[in-house]
Amino acid sequence: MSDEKKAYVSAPYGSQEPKRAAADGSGSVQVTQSSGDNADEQTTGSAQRPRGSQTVLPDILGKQLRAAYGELLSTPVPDRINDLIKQLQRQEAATPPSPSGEEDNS
Amino acid sequence: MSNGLQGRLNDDLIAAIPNMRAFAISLCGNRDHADDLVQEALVKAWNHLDSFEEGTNLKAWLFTILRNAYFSELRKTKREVADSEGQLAAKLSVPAEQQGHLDLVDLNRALSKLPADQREALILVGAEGFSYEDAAAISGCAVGTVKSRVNRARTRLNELMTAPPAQQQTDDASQPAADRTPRRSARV
Repeated sequence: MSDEKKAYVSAPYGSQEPKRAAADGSGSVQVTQSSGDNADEQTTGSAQRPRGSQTVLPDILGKQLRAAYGELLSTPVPDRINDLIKQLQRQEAATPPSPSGEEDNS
Repeated sequence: MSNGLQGRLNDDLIAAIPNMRAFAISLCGNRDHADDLVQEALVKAWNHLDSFEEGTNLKAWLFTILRNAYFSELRKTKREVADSEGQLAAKLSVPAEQQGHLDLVDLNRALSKLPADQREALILVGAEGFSYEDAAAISGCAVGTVKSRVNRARTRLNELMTAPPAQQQTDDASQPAADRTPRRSARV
């Protein structure tokens, strides 16, 4: 699982703006949370920490957040996105994958 | 041609579209804008599937492309303020009877008031269920930064959700009265 990170860090879009956090002015980077486990987690890497949001958010807020997000997840995908997928599939069927990395700019 | 891998990737990509939309809507607060971002990300992803490392997390890869599209646009247009002020709440428009005991409208209005990077971290970890490590890789920042952002977002959300209603109702004229029953202070 931890190998995943380097995969998208090295992906073409993944590495374009690693400095954004420092530049966007919101100031969150300077703050080191002093509340208990978080401080030492930052240095130990936390690979063994159990995954999942229940360890992150208080129960009620986390539930609300997941419920709200679940609503968004369940909204139907609009036609324009389905049409786009069909178009991409057609295009791919017509053009075998080429090493030149042909771009679609539509 | 042997389309096995490509076909499977395509299927996985299509399966991730609802998540991409939910993430994009949560980020930018506007469904049309979100679908623009999803479309842009899908085209990029589709045309660069060969650069995706098989066996790694496709959804995380897609989210990386998507959020980069959003944040680079945000930097260019500085539209964060316009997009974050209540538009998520307005667009979500959960019918009152569907809210149950969850104040989704309140939550989304509060969410929209967070700085974009905190909102991103909270959605990735708290709603989408990514690990801190995956969220950090997606956002291109340190794991500790993600944790800090999630903590700050959580703190701020709690403040917003427990704030006196008067403070939040400047744009409530269009909301049905049922959306404003004062339940929020009891919940958090």
